[in-house]
Amino acid sequence: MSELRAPRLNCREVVELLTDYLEGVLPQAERDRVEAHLQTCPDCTAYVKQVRTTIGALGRLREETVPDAVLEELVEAFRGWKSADA
Amino acid sequence: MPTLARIRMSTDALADEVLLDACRAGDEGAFVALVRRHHPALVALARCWPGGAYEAQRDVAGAWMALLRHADRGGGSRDPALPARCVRAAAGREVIRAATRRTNVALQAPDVPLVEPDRFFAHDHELWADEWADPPRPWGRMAARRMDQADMPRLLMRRTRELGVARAAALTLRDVHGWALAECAVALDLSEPQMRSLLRAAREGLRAALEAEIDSR
Repeated sequence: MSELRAPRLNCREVVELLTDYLEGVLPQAERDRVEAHLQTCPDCTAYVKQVRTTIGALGRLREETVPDAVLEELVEAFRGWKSADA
Repeated sequence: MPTLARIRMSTDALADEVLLDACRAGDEGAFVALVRRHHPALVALARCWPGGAYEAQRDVAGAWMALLRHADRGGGSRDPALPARCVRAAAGREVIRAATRRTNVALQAPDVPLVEPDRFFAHDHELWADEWADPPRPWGRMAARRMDQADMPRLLMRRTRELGVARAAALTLRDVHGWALAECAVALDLSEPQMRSLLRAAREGLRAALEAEIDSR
């Protein structure tokens, strides 16, 4: 019995599916089609690398600390809320 | 009285919901822990709207208090408007309310094409329908060096904000601070498909801006 094969995705379709692909929400069959396209398309491969590089660069902007003065001010506000609530 | 450092050690493993319940009961340490955990992302979110660091801090301070007040409504039961196990998303929603009120700039997803249409051959092209006509050039070593330069973080932040509040907020929460897509959707009051669509436009907008920057060198 022959299997019906889905047609090859074109570049525009790959670009449109890319976020779903990167977010891991594409059904497996669609994921396979994106990966099959990427194996043979250097232009889309370059595009995907650019998007991944962009996401990676954004991740390095992450700020983790809360300045002490800001924290103290928020704690004061919390105490005010708590005493008003009591 | 416990020091702030000890509070950090003893609350690191507690879930946001547990901490919010403790805040509701008046536990200052729980509040400090929640603030330490999520305040930077919330300030970054507020900074997607016009204004400076001071205004953003005000927005987030107001959002924390709004979150505590909302937790109070309903006589101790969980406010149905607060999504379960999604404290930071609820806080994000409060930040967006505050920033929108302050600036009168609403969070609206722009209706823009994903990639400039003329970078692809037309749908009805005989040989190359919907394939790249003007493909991206691979980013090699020069691009990598450019990405590592000292001014890049500032440039990235500027380019992100230039995309408008909706796209900037999407990138800030998902790609800078790593919130789950579902949390971003709750914070921005979007469905998950809408959130993915916004994120797609946002990533493409920033990629295109970086491509222009790198190709100009």
